Amino acid sequence: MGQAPSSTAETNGREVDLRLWSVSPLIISGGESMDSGKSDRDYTLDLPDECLAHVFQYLGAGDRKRCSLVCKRWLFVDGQNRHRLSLDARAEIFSFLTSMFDRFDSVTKLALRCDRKSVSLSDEALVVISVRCLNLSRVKLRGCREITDLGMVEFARNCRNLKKLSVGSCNFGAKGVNAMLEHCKLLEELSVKRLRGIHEAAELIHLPGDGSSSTLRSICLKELVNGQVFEPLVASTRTLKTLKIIRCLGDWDKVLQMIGEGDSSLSEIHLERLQVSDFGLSAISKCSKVETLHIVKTPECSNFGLIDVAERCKLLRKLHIDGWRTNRIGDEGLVAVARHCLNLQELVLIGVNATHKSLSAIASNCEKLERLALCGSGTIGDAEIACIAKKCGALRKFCIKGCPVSDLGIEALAAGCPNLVKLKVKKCKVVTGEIGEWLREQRRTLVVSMDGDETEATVAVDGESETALEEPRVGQAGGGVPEIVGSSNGGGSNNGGSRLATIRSKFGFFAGRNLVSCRFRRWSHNDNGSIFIRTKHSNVESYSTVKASSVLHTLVLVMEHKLATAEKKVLVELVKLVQKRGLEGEKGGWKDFLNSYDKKLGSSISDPSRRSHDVLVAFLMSFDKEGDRQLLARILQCDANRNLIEKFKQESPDKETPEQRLVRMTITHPRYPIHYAFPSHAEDWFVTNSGKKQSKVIKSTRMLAIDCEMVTCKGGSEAVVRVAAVDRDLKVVLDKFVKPSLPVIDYKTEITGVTAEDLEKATLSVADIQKKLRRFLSKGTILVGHGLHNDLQVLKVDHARVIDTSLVFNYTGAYSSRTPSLLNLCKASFLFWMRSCEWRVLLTIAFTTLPLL
Amino acid sequence: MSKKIIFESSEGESFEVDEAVALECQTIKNMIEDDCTDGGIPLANVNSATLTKVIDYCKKHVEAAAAAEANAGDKDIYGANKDIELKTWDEEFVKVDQPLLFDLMLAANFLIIPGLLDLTCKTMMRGKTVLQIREIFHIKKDYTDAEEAEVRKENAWAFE
Repeated sequence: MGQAPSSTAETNGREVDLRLWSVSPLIISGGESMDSGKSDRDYTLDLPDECLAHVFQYLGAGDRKRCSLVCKRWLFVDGQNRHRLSLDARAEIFSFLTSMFDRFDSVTKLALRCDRKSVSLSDEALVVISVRCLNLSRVKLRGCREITDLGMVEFARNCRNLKKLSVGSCNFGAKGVNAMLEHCKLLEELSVKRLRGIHEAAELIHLPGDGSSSTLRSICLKELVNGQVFEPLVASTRTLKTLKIIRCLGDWDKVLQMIGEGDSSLSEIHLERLQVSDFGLSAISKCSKVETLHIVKTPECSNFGLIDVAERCKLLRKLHIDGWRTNRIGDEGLVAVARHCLNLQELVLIGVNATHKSLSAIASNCEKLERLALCGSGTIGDAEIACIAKKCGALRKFCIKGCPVSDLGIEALAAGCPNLVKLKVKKCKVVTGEIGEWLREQRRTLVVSMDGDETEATVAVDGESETALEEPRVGQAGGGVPEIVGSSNGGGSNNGGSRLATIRSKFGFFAGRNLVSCRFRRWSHNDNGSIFIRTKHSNVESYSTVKASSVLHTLVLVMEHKLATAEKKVLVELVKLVQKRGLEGEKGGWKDFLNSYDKKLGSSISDPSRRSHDVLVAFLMSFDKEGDRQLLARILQCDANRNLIEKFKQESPDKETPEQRLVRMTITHPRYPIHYAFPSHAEDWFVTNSGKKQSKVIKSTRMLAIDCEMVTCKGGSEAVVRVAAVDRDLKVVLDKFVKPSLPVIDYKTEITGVTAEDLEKATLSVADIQKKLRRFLSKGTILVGHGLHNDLQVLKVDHARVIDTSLVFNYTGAYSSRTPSLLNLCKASFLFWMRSCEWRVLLTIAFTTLPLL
Repeated sequence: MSKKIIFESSEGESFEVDEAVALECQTIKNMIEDDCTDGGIPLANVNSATLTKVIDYCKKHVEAAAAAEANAGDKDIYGANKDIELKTWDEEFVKVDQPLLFDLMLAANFLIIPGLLDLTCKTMMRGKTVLQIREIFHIKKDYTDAEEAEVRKENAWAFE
């Protein structure tokens, strides 16, 4: 785009170009001679539209919006060249649609998203859009709950050029999906997540006719309740190359068996957290063209299934197995892989107890093996690594994570694997940093990444599951719902013992397994099909009753997990706080709860510190109001953040990065506890999530510099009116005006640069800013600011990792209540800090703050 | 390698560059392939100052590419640094006044140097407010207030 045609014949091309371009030099020379103040010229007028469009192409949606407001020409050029559009799909958008799509008339990729609190656009609106955008090639619908099958049918009729459709959290059903398949003959990719209209009685989903003319290449099903209705589609689409089924309820063996029976061209299959057994794997083995197979957390799959796959899928290139430490897949299956899958290039084993026996077979047979990851296995030690080092000649990338490997094993890699370019060793407790250094010395071309490293090398194996060893991703709504229902049903019997058992089993879920395995375990333990069926039944029921609030359940599950893993001390604190505030859960307050929960002891022992962990958790979980839950979550998060800081303080400062040093300087400063004690329990505070992996969070070097401008409001209070944030690359990620809740009496324009006019257009509240910041403040981002506590105080944000330059840079280094001003700081520091890494940090601050001064 | 190409700026000044450097420009590449570069290439719409910059840019990038190739084996270790170095150089390169920046953009568009065009386009108006943009580029607002409000309202529906 935006380039002159690359001509075939020289003269021809040049003529065209010159004609196009001859204007500009004239204008420039003319302009210069005419007005002496040449700096006032609008040079953008020289740019042809295509060039302007090229400039716009580099801008994000936010910047493009602003550009469209600059002048009519820009509005036009932006509109004409906008191919990708993401709209807020609330019902109120309807009246704007006509003019909007007049303006953006070349949109081909459209996303419609509606948040869960709002009413989404209707069928009618969808049809208006489809009539205006006949050329849509990619469509994404999220949370458009008002759209029904009728709307989808109409939409499908109009947008026949659709290649990719992705729907999530919508309410329409099988009819709508079928219509898409019928009318959109070019459809290549279909992704369906949490489609609530796919209920028990839903019609089957299939291709029109015999499916021979289909272009469908990829199907992804996620978190569906009755995903099995896709069976005819999946089984009859001969062109299908990729199939992903992730966290869908119910038995999937049969569907896979149907696929296996046909002449399938599937080359990539992902199965994750499903009820799939060896029958299913056996069926997959009949798809001879499979090259990529992921078997992730499917607890029923065992060696037998894997052997079948290995024997028949000769083309297998990538194999990922997350055995979930069920020990059903192990050496036996892997030996079969070694024997038959000679094309294997990538192997990822997570929670699979493989030993020397199978790994040596793979190392010697699979000569093409380039990428290998071994994670979370108790059986993989130095002997295994040594044997890989010796035999894996082609290995390029190797990742070892959470295995009982020592320096000895790593040492072996110095002499082996001649093609190794990347090695990642993480969470192997006995491996020392020195061996990494040594290995780097030995093999200069090898990038070694270890736990203590400042810079993380890119993931060793493409697509390796990052959460491999972490607690299971909690709160996948489809999976979690039935457990809750189970427990509340159990509550009816009021039997203390069984109630406790349910709670325990619930936590068992979090300790590493989810619904499928729970159910499986129950099934296998009881050897009684009826229980299994009953559970399944309750799934459906619960799903339909709570379908609108599945996200809430997600939160509940996350919460539950957090409570269950919290220290008792914290729980006691929480219970006391709740008591103090007089909050009541579904069973009433603390004492009421004790009376109904534990008939024998009742509320005779009401000191929370003398009650068991389970009781405390059960009580805290009885709070079902969202506000209460949020309070609990905030406190837990505060606590987690505090722990993080404490843990970090205790660590030795020897090997820390410059960033870490600055954080340490801030948090150990005598003024830190005074400045940074926020009333973050209050309702409107936002406590940032520091992320699950503490070690990673502590090492993160992501930074965000932030500054707020304050004005004085009626009554003398201060209110934030402008917030700016800059990331490490000095990119401005946020620059917004905030609408103060009270009338402003002093704009302090000379300091803030903010005028009444600026604020007229401001619509954002502090809560909106919190929401925007949330995105940047995850996973241990370091917040940088000058007198940062003031900014955090007005933004009502509590964040763990901070660098406050007013604390870090101190003239004397000794304690002093005077903190330097930013301007002086900049002068002084540039001289001293320039050469060290810190200057970047400083620059970041200066960059944010100075322009606003 | 040694073959030279001669450019002629709008002022009639001649610039001699290596063929490899000239090849960075798609337009010139086409001309060279068609073998019609004898006697210099007149670039009537590129002035000398701009042309000097453009040639600087092409030279630097040809050198960088050659260096990267030579170090291909060690790329994992040194490649990253080299990339960063080139990036900083690029950043410095486009720190020029507006007229020159626009001239560069036009030249890059005309000569078809995708890298330079991208570079000049990239940084122009990111993260600026409407008023700032109008001020920086001296663009006259041709909206009425009502019209502007209308567009603003419409914009609110698109996600950022």
